[in-house]
Amino acid sequence: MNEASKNHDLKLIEEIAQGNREAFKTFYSNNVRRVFSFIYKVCKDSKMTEEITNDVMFEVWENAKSFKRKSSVMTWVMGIAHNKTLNEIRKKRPELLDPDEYSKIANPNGRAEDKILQKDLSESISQAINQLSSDHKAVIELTFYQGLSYQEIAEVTDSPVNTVKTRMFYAKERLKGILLNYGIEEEVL
Amino acid sequence: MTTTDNNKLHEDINLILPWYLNGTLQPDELAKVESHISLCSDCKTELERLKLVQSSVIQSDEALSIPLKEMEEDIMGRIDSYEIRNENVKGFSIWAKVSDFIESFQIPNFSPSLAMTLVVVQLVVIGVLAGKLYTQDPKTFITLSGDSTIKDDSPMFIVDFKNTTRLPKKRLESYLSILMLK
Repeated sequence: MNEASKNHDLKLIEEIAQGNREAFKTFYSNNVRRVFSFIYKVCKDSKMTEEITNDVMFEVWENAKSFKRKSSVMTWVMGIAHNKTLNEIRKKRPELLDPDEYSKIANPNGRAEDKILQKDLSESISQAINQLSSDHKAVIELTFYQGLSYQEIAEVTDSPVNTVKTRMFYAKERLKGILLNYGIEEEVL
Repeated sequence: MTTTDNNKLHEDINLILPWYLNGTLQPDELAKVESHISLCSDCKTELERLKLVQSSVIQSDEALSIPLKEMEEDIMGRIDSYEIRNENVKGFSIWAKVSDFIESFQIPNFSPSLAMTLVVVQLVVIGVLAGKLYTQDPKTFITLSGDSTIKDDSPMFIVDFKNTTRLPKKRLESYLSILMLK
């Protein structure tokens, strides 16, 4: 995210804090896709994603006044999204937090390689990411899709910087394991 | 640099490679990673793998279908209801003053809804204390001028003070003595 875009978001938040609905609409249409995408990839439930996304955006409207400029607007928003998503998952789909349990759910018939072998590598990787636990998916999404630095991810997830780095490390390791399980050789990766 | 130092550097670089790829490293880290990658084939391979992950994450997002129109209607509807509710609450001048006063301190994590809760708690406490005075004995009232207890067998007087100024002092005193409940 570039500086101009960050400043634009900050200006919008200041206007939202004054109750400017048009500014909120602009902020919403500029950012809803990012927020939705992040939540969906972590919880994999369209209905839940729609609800959480609007809960996040509503909190932006409600709390724009109390936004402190310690972080960027998107770090703040993604932090709200991360918390709300994990809270909802804990309440409604706690199995998504456990990497081993989640693998079984995402891959109920066991030998996924039979089905996936013919598909292209990118799709296989995407499916493998879906099998990661919520924490692992979150760090991958925040890095590769949201483009956040590891310091920003630490703020979003309210974790120490080293935890973010090691979480990414284990996410990659797990991803390799799943892809090997799909029959994709390490040399290809 | 010793082998141990090299291994440590390799591990450190490997941990931050994803953020080298998304271009968010600090300049000093960036320089370290670039210099290490030019010599380390493992890190080069790891970087290629991460590029595949990154492109896969971005591609999977393109396929995402979002019901934007419905969601926008929903959020604007929620905001409308919230604002109407807020306006109603702000209609109470005491609440408006308390809310504005608290907000003027800009206390972190102190939301207007929390302030509202505190005000409600105060009102409940006042209500309970006031209710207690009346429920103890419905006929007992405390006044600043003294005991105003009315008992069940007390006589009832209707006193018309319209012309009391014309009454002789003695007669007035005798009327008042009848009113003494002792």
